Amino acid sequence: MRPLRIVTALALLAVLSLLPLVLSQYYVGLVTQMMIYGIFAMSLDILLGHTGLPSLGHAAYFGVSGYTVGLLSLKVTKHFGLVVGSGLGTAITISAIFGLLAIRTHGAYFLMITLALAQVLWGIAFKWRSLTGGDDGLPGVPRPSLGIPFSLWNTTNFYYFALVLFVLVVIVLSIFIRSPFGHALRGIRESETRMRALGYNVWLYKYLAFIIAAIFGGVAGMLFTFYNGFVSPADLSIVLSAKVLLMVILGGAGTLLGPALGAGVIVLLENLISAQTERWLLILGAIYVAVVLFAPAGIIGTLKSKLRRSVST
Amino acid sequence: MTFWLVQTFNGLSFAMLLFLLAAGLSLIFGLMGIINLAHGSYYLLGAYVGLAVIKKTNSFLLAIVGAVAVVVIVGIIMQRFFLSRFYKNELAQVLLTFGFLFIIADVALWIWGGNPQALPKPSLFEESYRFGNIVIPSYRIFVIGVGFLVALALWVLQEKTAIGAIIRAGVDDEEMTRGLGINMPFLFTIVFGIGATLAALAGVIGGPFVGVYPGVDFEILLLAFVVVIIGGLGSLKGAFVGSLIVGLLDNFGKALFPEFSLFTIFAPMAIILAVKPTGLFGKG
Amino acid sequence: MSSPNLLVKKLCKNFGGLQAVNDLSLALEPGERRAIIGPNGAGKTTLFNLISGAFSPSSGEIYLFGKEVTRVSPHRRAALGLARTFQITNLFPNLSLFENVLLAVQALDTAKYSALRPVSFYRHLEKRTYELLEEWGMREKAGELARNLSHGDQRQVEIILALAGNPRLLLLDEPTSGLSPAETSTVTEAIRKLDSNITIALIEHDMDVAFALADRVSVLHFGSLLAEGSVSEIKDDPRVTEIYLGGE
Repeated sequence: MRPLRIVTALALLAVLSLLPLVLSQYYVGLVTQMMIYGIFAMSLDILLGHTGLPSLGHAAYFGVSGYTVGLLSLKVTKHFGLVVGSGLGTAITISAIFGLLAIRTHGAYFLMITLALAQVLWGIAFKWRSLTGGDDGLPGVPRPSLGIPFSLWNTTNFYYFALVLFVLVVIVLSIFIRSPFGHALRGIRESETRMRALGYNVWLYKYLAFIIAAIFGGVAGMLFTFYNGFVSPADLSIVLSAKVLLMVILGGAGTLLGPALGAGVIVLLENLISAQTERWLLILGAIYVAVVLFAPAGIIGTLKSKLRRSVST
Repeated sequence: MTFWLVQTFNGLSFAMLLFLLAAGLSLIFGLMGIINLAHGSYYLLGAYVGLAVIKKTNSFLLAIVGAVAVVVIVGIIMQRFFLSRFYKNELAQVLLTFGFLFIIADVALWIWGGNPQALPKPSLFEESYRFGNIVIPSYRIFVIGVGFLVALALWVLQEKTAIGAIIRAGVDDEEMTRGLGINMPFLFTIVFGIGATLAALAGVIGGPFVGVYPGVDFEILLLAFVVVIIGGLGSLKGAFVGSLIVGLLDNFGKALFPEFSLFTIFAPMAIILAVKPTGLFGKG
Repeated sequence: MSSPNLLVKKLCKNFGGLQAVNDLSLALEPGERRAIIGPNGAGKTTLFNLISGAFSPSSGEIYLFGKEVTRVSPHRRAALGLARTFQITNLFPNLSLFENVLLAVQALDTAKYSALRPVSFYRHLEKRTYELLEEWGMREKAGELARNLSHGDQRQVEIILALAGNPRLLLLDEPTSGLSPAETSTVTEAIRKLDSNITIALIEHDMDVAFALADRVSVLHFGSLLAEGSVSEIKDDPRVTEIYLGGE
């Protein structure tokens, strides 16, 4: 099992590394987007799949980091470290505040409160025109310079930049979910009362998981802002929060790479279908319904149980 | 003084509109545990259907009837054929209702286009009353009246009737209701239908002053959520008090601090959450 | 004599109008085996929930190993050396048996907040987990999901999880509930063989089990202490016979 997994991962990495050699610029950009949303979906999987916390406001951290790097790059500095550091800083600060309010609640309340809190940020971005540009957003965000002779303005270069980050995030998160901390999160998902009785500070674990998920969500948001050169209230909206939830479920909650796969599928469909018809929203709505009806365990989850069945028979 | 009176009046009428939505949202959650993200879409659909009926018939009353009929059918299809299969599965319900939100929004955009529209006021309530230098449109009084009437009717339904007793029992203890041999699926459909009716009603009577446009579904849904978060999920009293708070705050916020108007709603919500996570009248 | 491992003073707990625990005082000496019996609704499980910190009391005081813990959170009490089992099996159903026990093993380990190294890096955690499974004869079931284990196995895992942290005070809430006679005697034997330094409070419906394991017995009735004494004293107490006969 182990060697097989490593071989698959290396093969995947090889394919991803070679893609720009065969794909047109349009598709290189598309795969870049898939990887960015993949990071975003994996960040939510920490909360949803591993800790059992269904956040409906995860776009908050994607967007708030996006706005931070956008504003700084446009108005203050292009220094990579400063910009990215501040982007992460705001994600941490906001999630630390929101977490205090949200972590005390359960189930439906958690869903609604995370939604409402994210909507606060959306409201600020939408209404505070003098700072955020309102619903026009902030166009023309420059890509940062890394301080080495490797320009991020080149589509293929940016692709490799995103790929390196994507691989790093996958490695860090797969260690994280196998760590004692990651095990504790799944314990909390399964039984909070038992975890407390065993001696775990359940609140603290959930709170930290909330912030960690926000950090990786922020990474995705920053990357996306650099990629797009643009940030707008849509990057904070409930539409994005619900979309990333769909990506996680579609790929398979709790499987880490599944959500990244789900993200890839949705991004691909969105681009292919909206090029053909104006009714993408209708189709997206139908995908939501179809996933719940036909693939509640997600792609990876369904494959896994199929595999297990075929092995046992 | 005039400013405060007029704004209070506007806030009250908006509050009653919110109550129509929040009461249904809260009732549905209280009984079935469903968070219906498509509840704002019922408002949107109700307003568009109402508008179409008015254009054809010129009758506000028929508009209400038509809107309620269409929305109730949509709501019951959602509940019977989809949501009922995912009882107690919050995540599935959220994804399902979110899917319906998109579907309804896009179909509405397809049929009625993207321009903001407003429903005409019924001719009966076109005039305004003057008290000294204060002008109050009679339509606002009508909306406030409808809100209070609905609140009263729901209160009577919940506290004084057999169905209400079952609903209250369902909210408190679903096992017991089953034990009594009550047809829960039927009750669920009834309550879902009541929620859809109220939302459609809100769409038609809110149409003349809130209007209807793509995105109003989200805006209305969000405010209704804030109402039930403040008031407490599943509580009728909470929905009423929460509506008053949010309706007034929203109105004064927009008038006094336009750049931060949403903040005037969310800041009190955050404070209430910090003190009482289940809302003012929520259980637990 | 050292201070008692568990001291409960004038403890009360109300749920709405219901007095679940009423002016209850208890003291358990180190190494003592105490059975807590009483009819359904006597407040036994509520008492455990108060001692472990799952509920906070309406009034009264709780001391663990000489320290006041009345308002201390459950995980801090566990760190002091308190462990419990649940009457209604409370495992991690969708995790493997190995992971279930591992979570209990790492609960009081300094590595439990480690997030940047896989569990396999901490050899001592894996080793202890397998030791425990070996000890209880469940090593070969390590990979099975907890929810797929038999009821008897699940009840045993309840006890393994509680023991993993080497507790000084163990609260066992009906460890034999729902077990067949054969399984009951296995579990009873296992409890009897536990390290005699561990103080044990045991809620038990099965009188034979309770009397076989306990040094002393406390009888609860409507949330209050009805009688307390040695096994033979309780067996002969007419009040005890009466509530059991009258209650059935």
